[in-house]
Amino acid sequence: MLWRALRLVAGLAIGIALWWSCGDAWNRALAFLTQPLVKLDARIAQTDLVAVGHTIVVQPLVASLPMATIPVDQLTYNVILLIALFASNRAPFSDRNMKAFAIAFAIVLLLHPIGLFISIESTYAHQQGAWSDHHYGETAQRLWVNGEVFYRLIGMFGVVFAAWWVAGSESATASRRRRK
Amino acid sequence: MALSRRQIGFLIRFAVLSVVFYLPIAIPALERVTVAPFTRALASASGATLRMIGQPVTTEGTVIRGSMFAVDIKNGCNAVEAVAFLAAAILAFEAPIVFRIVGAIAGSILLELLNLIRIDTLYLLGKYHRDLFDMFHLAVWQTLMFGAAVLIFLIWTRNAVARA
Repeated sequence: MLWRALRLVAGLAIGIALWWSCGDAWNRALAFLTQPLVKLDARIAQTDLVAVGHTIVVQPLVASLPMATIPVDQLTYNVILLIALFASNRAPFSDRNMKAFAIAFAIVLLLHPIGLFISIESTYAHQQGAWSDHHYGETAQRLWVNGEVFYRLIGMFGVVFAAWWVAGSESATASRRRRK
Repeated sequence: MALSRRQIGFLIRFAVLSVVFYLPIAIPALERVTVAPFTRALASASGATLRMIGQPVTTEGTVIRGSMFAVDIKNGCNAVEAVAFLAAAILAFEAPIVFRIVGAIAGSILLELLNLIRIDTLYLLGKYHRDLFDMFHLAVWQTLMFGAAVLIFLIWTRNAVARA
Protein backbone atom coordinates (compact mmCIF):
# COMPACT_ATOMS: atom_id res chain seq x y z
CA MET A 1 0.00 0.00 0.00
CA LEU A 2 2.96 2.33 0.65
CA TRP A 3 4.17 1.87 -2.93
CA ARG A 4 0.67 2.52 -4.15
CA ALA A 5 0.55 5.76 -2.14
CA LEU A 6 3.92 6.80 -3.57
CA ARG A 7 2.74 6.06 -7.12
CA LEU A 8 -0.38 8.11 -6.35
CA VAL A 9 1.71 11.09 -5.24
CA ALA A 10 3.94 10.76 -8.36
CA GLY A 11 0.80 10.65 -10.52
CA LEU A 12 -0.49 13.69 -8.70
CA ALA A 13 2.67 15.63 -9.60
CA ILE A 14 2.44 14.54 -13.25
CA GLY A 15 -1.27 15.36 -13.30
CA ILE A 16 -0.71 18.87 -11.93
CA ALA A 17 2.08 19.49 -14.47
CA LEU A 18 -0.13 18.34 -17.36
CA TRP A 19 -3.21 20.22 -16.14
CA TRP A 20 -1.17 23.37 -15.65
CA SER A 21 0.68 23.21 -18.98
CA CYS A 22 -2.24 22.05 -21.18
CA GLY A 23 -4.96 23.98 -19.35
CA ASP A 24 -5.17 26.96 -21.69
CA ALA A 25 -5.29 24.79 -24.83
CA TRP A 26 -7.96 22.55 -23.26
CA ASN A 27 -9.96 25.64 -22.20
CA ARG A 28 -10.07 26.79 -25.84
CA ALA A 29 -11.27 23.34 -26.92
CA LEU A 30 -13.76 23.33 -24.08
CA ALA A 31 -15.21 26.67 -25.19
CA PHE A 32 -15.64 25.25 -28.70
CA LEU A 33 -17.23 21.99 -27.44
CA THR A 34 -19.61 23.73 -25.02
CA GLN A 35 -20.85 26.30 -27.54
CA PRO A 36 -23.46 23.92 -29.08
CA LEU A 37 -24.84 23.14 -25.59
CA VAL A 38 -25.28 26.85 -24.84
CA LYS A 39 -27.22 27.24 -28.11
CA LEU A 40 -29.80 24.77 -26.75
CA ASP A 41 -31.09 27.31 -24.20
CA ALA A 42 -32.82 30.25 -25.91
CA ARG A 43 -32.16 32.51 -22.88
CA ILE A 44 -28.40 32.38 -23.35
CA ALA A 45 -28.11 31.15 -26.94
CA GLN A 46 -26.95 34.48 -28.29
CA THR A 47 -23.55 34.33 -26.70
CA ASP A 48 -20.03 33.35 -27.69
CA LEU A 49 -17.73 31.43 -25.40
CA VAL A 50 -14.17 32.73 -25.42
CA ALA A 51 -11.32 31.16 -23.45
CA VAL A 52 -9.18 33.77 -21.68
CA GLY A 53 -6.43 32.18 -19.62
CA HIS A 54 -7.95 30.18 -16.79
CA THR A 55 -11.43 31.51 -17.46
CA ILE A 56 -14.11 31.28 -20.10
CA VAL A 57 -15.86 34.53 -20.87
CA VAL A 58 -19.48 34.30 -22.00
CA GLN A 59 -19.68 37.21 -24.44
CA PRO A 60 -23.21 38.39 -25.29
CA LEU A 61 -24.05 39.06 -28.93
CA VAL A 62 -27.01 41.25 -27.97
CA ALA A 63 -27.06 44.21 -25.61
CA SER A 64 -29.84 42.82 -23.38
CA LEU A 65 -27.70 39.87 -22.19
CA PRO A 66 -25.16 40.34 -19.40
CA MET A 67 -21.60 39.05 -19.68
CA ALA A 68 -20.27 36.30 -17.42
CA THR A 69 -16.84 34.96 -16.53
CA ILE A 70 -16.47 31.32 -15.53
CA PRO A 71 -13.29 30.19 -13.71
CA VAL A 72 -13.05 27.07 -15.83
CA ASP A 73 -9.92 25.68 -14.20
CA GLN A 74 -12.13 24.90 -11.17
CA LEU A 75 -14.17 22.55 -13.36
CA THR A 76 -11.38 20.61 -15.02
CA TYR A 77 -8.84 19.73 -12.34
CA ASN A 78 -10.46 16.35 -11.73
CA VAL A 79 -8.11 15.05 -14.46
CA ILE A 80 -5.31 15.34 -11.88
CA LEU A 81 -7.06 12.82 -9.64
CA LEU A 82 -7.72 10.55 -12.62
CA ILE A 83 -4.03 10.53 -13.59
CA ALA A 84 -3.01 9.99 -9.96
CA LEU A 85 -5.41 7.04 -9.53
CA PHE A 86 -4.28 5.28 -12.70
CA ALA A 87 -0.65 5.95 -11.76
CA SER A 88 -1.36 4.24 -8.43
CA ASN A 89 -2.39 1.01 -10.18
CA ARG A 90 0.02 -1.90 -10.27
CA ALA A 91 2.03 -1.80 -13.54
CA PRO A 92 0.79 1.67 -14.48
CA PHE A 93 2.45 1.59 -17.92
CA SER A 94 1.02 -1.79 -18.94
CA ASP A 95 -1.09 -1.88 -22.10
CA ARG A 96 -4.22 -2.75 -20.17
CA ASN A 97 -3.82 0.07 -17.67
CA MET A 98 -3.06 2.57 -20.43
CA LYS A 99 -6.08 1.40 -22.43
CA ALA A 100 -8.33 1.63 -19.36
CA PHE A 101 -6.87 5.07 -18.63
CA ALA A 102 -7.58 6.24 -22.18
CA ILE A 103 -11.23 5.19 -21.89
CA ALA A 104 -11.67 6.79 -18.45
CA PHE A 105 -9.82 9.94 -19.61
CA ALA A 106 -12.16 10.24 -22.62
CA ILE A 107 -15.22 9.88 -20.33
CA VAL A 108 -13.95 12.56 -17.96
CA LEU A 109 -13.02 14.96 -20.80
CA LEU A 110 -16.43 14.47 -22.41
CA LEU A 111 -18.08 15.44 -19.13
CA HIS A 112 -16.19 18.75 -18.93
CA PRO A 113 -18.44 20.53 -21.48
CA ILE A 114 -21.47 19.39 -19.47
CA GLY A 115 -19.89 20.68 -16.26
CA LEU A 116 -19.10 24.03 -17.93
CA PHE A 117 -22.63 24.25 -19.34
CA ILE A 118 -24.12 23.64 -15.88
CA SER A 119 -21.80 26.31 -14.45
CA ILE A 120 -22.84 28.84 -17.13
CA GLU A 121 -26.52 28.11 -16.52
CA SER A 122 -26.00 28.43 -12.76
CA THR A 123 -24.23 31.78 -13.22
CA TYR A 124 -27.01 33.17 -15.42
CA ALA A 125 -29.73 31.70 -13.20
CA HIS A 126 -28.42 33.06 -9.94
CA GLN A 127 -25.71 35.69 -10.25
CA GLN A 128 -27.05 38.20 -12.77
CA GLY A 129 -29.37 40.07 -10.44
CA ALA A 130 -32.64 41.25 -11.98
CA TRP A 131 -31.83 39.55 -15.29
CA SER A 132 -31.68 36.16 -13.49
CA ASP A 133 -34.96 36.74 -11.66
CA HIS A 134 -36.64 37.79 -14.88
CA HIS A 135 -35.50 34.81 -16.96
CA TYR A 136 -35.35 31.96 -14.45
CA GLY A 137 -38.04 30.78 -12.06
CA GLU A 138 -37.23 29.97 -8.45
CA THR A 139 -37.18 26.22 -9.09
CA ALA A 140 -34.95 26.59 -12.13
CA GLN A 141 -32.55 28.77 -10.16
CA ARG A 142 -32.32 26.21 -7.36
CA LEU A 143 -31.90 23.38 -9.84
CA TRP A 144 -29.01 24.97 -11.70
CA VAL A 145 -27.24 26.21 -8.57
CA ASN A 146 -27.50 22.82 -6.88
CA GLY A 147 -26.44 21.11 -10.10
CA GLU A 148 -23.31 23.22 -10.18
CA VAL A 149 -22.48 22.79 -6.49
CA PHE A 150 -23.06 19.03 -6.71
CA TYR A 151 -20.83 18.77 -9.78
CA ARG A 152 -18.07 20.83 -8.18
CA LEU A 153 -18.10 19.21 -4.76
CA ILE A 154 -18.87 15.57 -5.44
CA GLY A 155 -19.82 14.85 -9.06
CA MET A 156 -16.55 15.70 -10.80
CA PHE A 157 -14.62 13.44 -8.41
CA GLY A 158 -17.35 10.80 -8.23
CA VAL A 159 -17.14 10.39 -12.00
CA VAL A 160 -13.35 10.06 -11.85
CA PHE A 161 -13.58 7.49 -9.08
CA ALA A 162 -16.31 5.50 -10.87
CA ALA A 163 -14.43 5.55 -14.19
CA TRP A 164 -11.19 4.47 -12.49
CA TRP A 165 -12.88 1.83 -10.36
CA VAL A 166 -14.74 0.25 -13.28
CA ALA A 167 -11.84 0.48 -15.76
CA GLY A 168 -9.29 -0.43 -13.09
CA SER A 169 -11.13 -3.47 -11.79
CA GLU A 170 -11.82 -4.58 -15.36
CA SER A 171 -8.13 -4.38 -16.19
CA ALA A 172 -7.17 -6.14 -12.93
CA THR A 173 -9.62 -8.96 -13.64
CA ALA A 174 -8.29 -9.34 -17.17
CA SER A 175 -4.71 -9.46 -15.97
CA ARG A 176 -5.58 -12.08 -13.34
CA ARG A 177 -7.24 -14.17 -16.05
CA ARG A 178 -4.13 -13.85 -18.23
CA ARG A 179 -1.86 -15.03 -15.40
CA LYS A 180 -4.02 -18.15 -14.95
CA MET B 1 -16.03 -3.08 -21.25
CA ALA B 2 -18.88 -5.20 -19.85
CA LEU B 3 -19.82 -4.46 -16.27
CA SER B 4 -20.78 -7.24 -13.88
CA ARG B 5 -24.05 -7.03 -11.96
CA ARG B 6 -22.01 -6.48 -8.80
CA GLN B 7 -20.16 -3.52 -10.32
CA ILE B 8 -23.38 -1.96 -11.60
CA GLY B 9 -24.99 -2.43 -8.17
CA PHE B 10 -22.03 -0.75 -6.49
CA LEU B 11 -22.08 2.19 -8.90
CA ILE B 12 -25.82 2.73 -8.49
CA ARG B 13 -25.61 2.60 -4.69
CA PHE B 14 -22.56 4.89 -4.77
CA ALA B 15 -24.40 7.45 -6.96
CA VAL B 16 -27.56 7.36 -4.83
CA LEU B 17 -25.64 7.67 -1.56
CA SER B 18 -23.53 10.54 -3.00
CA VAL B 19 -26.74 12.45 -3.66
CA VAL B 20 -28.14 11.58 -0.21
CA PHE B 21 -24.96 12.76 1.54
CA TYR B 22 -25.01 15.92 -0.57
CA LEU B 23 -28.39 16.93 0.91
CA PRO B 24 -26.96 18.47 4.13
CA ILE B 25 -24.96 20.82 1.90
CA ALA B 26 -27.80 21.53 -0.53
CA ILE B 27 -30.72 22.19 1.81
CA PRO B 28 -30.07 25.49 3.63
CA ALA B 29 -32.15 24.60 6.71
CA LEU B 30 -30.23 21.35 7.09
CA GLU B 31 -26.91 23.00 6.29
CA ARG B 32 -27.41 25.58 9.06
CA VAL B 33 -27.74 22.91 11.77
CA THR B 34 -25.22 20.34 10.48
CA VAL B 35 -22.48 21.56 8.15
CA ALA B 36 -22.26 25.19 9.35
CA PRO B 37 -21.58 24.39 13.07
CA PHE B 38 -19.13 21.71 12.00
CA THR B 39 -17.27 24.21 9.79
CA ARG B 40 -17.08 26.72 12.66
CA ALA B 41 -15.69 23.99 14.94
CA LEU B 42 -13.17 23.10 12.24
CA ALA B 43 -12.08 26.74 12.03
CA SER B 44 -11.61 26.84 15.82
CA ALA B 45 -9.56 23.62 15.76
CA SER B 46 -7.45 24.87 12.85
CA GLY B 47 -6.90 28.19 14.64
CA ALA B 48 -5.86 26.33 17.80
CA THR B 49 -3.32 24.18 15.92
CA LEU B 50 -1.94 27.28 14.19
CA ARG B 51 -1.51 28.98 17.57
CA MET B 52 0.24 25.84 18.84
CA ILE B 53 2.92 26.33 16.18
CA GLY B 54 3.33 29.99 17.06
CA GLN B 55 0.99 31.72 14.64
CA PRO B 56 -0.87 34.61 16.26
CA VAL B 57 -4.32 34.02 14.76
CA THR B 58 -7.86 34.59 15.91
CA THR B 59 -10.96 32.77 14.74
CA GLU B 60 -14.34 34.29 14.18
CA GLY B 61 -17.03 31.99 12.83
CA THR B 62 -15.45 30.29 9.83
CA VAL B 63 -12.68 32.88 9.43
CA ILE B 64 -9.10 32.40 10.64
CA ARG B 65 -7.41 35.75 10.76
CA GLY B 66 -3.78 36.75 11.20
CA SER B 67 -2.12 40.13 10.83
CA MET B 68 -1.18 39.55 7.18
CA PHE B 69 -3.62 36.97 5.87
CA ALA B 70 -7.01 35.42 6.56
CA VAL B 71 -8.83 32.32 5.31
CA ASP B 72 -12.57 31.77 5.26
CA ILE B 73 -13.52 28.09 5.37
CA LYS B 74 -16.43 27.41 3.05
CA ASN B 75 -18.09 24.31 1.68
CA GLY B 76 -15.46 22.60 -0.41
CA CYS B 77 -12.75 23.42 2.17
CA ASN B 78 -14.35 21.66 5.13
CA ALA B 79 -13.80 18.20 3.57
CA VAL B 80 -17.48 17.41 3.96
CA GLU B 81 -17.54 16.55 0.26
CA ALA B 82 -14.60 14.13 0.63
CA VAL B 83 -16.27 12.59 3.68
CA ALA B 84 -19.55 12.24 1.74
CA PHE B 85 -17.65 10.65 -1.14
CA LEU B 86 -15.81 8.18 1.12
CA ALA B 87 -18.90 7.31 3.16
CA ALA B 88 -20.90 6.74 -0.05
CA ALA B 89 -18.19 4.46 -1.46
CA ILE B 90 -17.77 2.44 1.76
CA LEU B 91 -21.48 2.10 2.47
CA ALA B 92 -22.13 1.10 -1.16
CA PHE B 93 -19.61 -1.75 -0.96
CA GLU B 94 -20.87 -5.23 -0.20
CA ALA B 95 -19.68 -5.99 3.35
CA PRO B 96 -21.25 -6.52 6.81
CA ILE B 97 -23.14 -3.37 7.78
CA VAL B 98 -21.27 -2.84 11.08
CA PHE B 99 -17.94 -3.11 9.24
CA ARG B 100 -19.20 -0.53 6.75
CA ILE B 101 -20.34 1.91 9.43
CA VAL B 102 -17.09 1.59 11.41
CA GLY B 103 -15.10 2.06 8.19
CA ALA B 104 -17.08 5.14 7.19
CA ILE B 105 -16.69 6.77 10.63
CA ALA B 106 -12.99 5.96 11.01
CA GLY B 107 -12.25 7.05 7.44
CA SER B 108 -14.13 10.31 7.95
CA ILE B 109 -12.13 11.10 11.08
CA LEU B 110 -8.88 10.46 9.22
CA LEU B 111 -9.98 12.72 6.37
CA GLU B 112 -10.90 15.54 8.74
CA LEU B 113 -7.53 15.23 10.50
CA LEU B 114 -5.88 15.54 7.09
CA ASN B 115 -8.12 18.52 6.41
CA LEU B 116 -6.79 20.26 9.52
CA ILE B 117 -3.33 19.97 7.99
CA ARG B 118 -4.73 21.29 4.71
CA ILE B 119 -6.24 24.39 6.30
CA ASP B 120 -3.12 25.13 8.35
CA THR B 121 -0.76 24.71 5.38
CA LEU B 122 -3.03 26.86 3.20
CA TYR B 123 -2.99 29.59 5.83
CA LEU B 124 0.81 29.40 6.01
CA LEU B 125 1.12 29.37 2.22
CA GLY B 126 -1.18 32.36 1.97
CA LYS B 127 0.91 34.21 4.53
CA TYR B 128 4.40 33.32 3.30
CA HIS B 129 4.01 32.17 -0.34
CA ARG B 130 0.93 33.87 -1.72
CA ASP B 131 1.99 32.93 -5.30
CA LEU B 132 1.53 29.22 -4.51
CA PHE B 133 -1.72 29.58 -2.60
CA ASP B 134 -4.16 29.31 -5.52
CA MET B 135 -2.57 26.21 -7.01
CA PHE B 136 -2.43 24.43 -3.66
CA HIS B 137 -5.90 25.57 -2.67
CA LEU B 138 -7.52 24.41 -5.87
CA ALA B 139 -5.51 21.62 -7.40
CA VAL B 140 -3.05 20.08 -4.96
CA TRP B 141 -5.00 19.81 -1.72
CA GLN B 142 -8.40 19.10 -3.22
CA THR B 143 -6.91 16.27 -5.29
CA LEU B 144 -4.93 15.01 -2.29
CA MET B 145 -8.10 14.90 -0.19
CA PHE B 146 -9.92 12.78 -2.75
CA GLY B 147 -6.79 10.72 -3.38
CA ALA B 148 -6.61 10.06 0.37
CA ALA B 149 -10.30 9.15 0.38
CA VAL B 150 -9.68 6.60 -2.39
CA LEU B 151 -6.64 5.19 -0.57
CA ILE B 152 -8.66 4.81 2.64
CA PHE B 153 -11.39 3.12 0.61
CA LEU B 154 -8.85 0.72 -0.93
CA ILE B 155 -7.32 -0.16 2.45
CA TRP B 156 -10.79 -0.68 3.88
CA THR B 157 -11.96 -2.85 0.94
CA ARG B 158 -8.82 -4.99 1.21
CA ASN B 159 -9.72 -5.69 4.85
CA ALA B 160 -13.38 -6.17 3.97
CA VAL B 161 -12.54 -8.72 1.28
CA ALA B 162 -10.05 -10.53 3.57
CA ARG B 163 -12.70 -10.67 6.31
CA ALA B 164 -15.30 -12.02 3.90
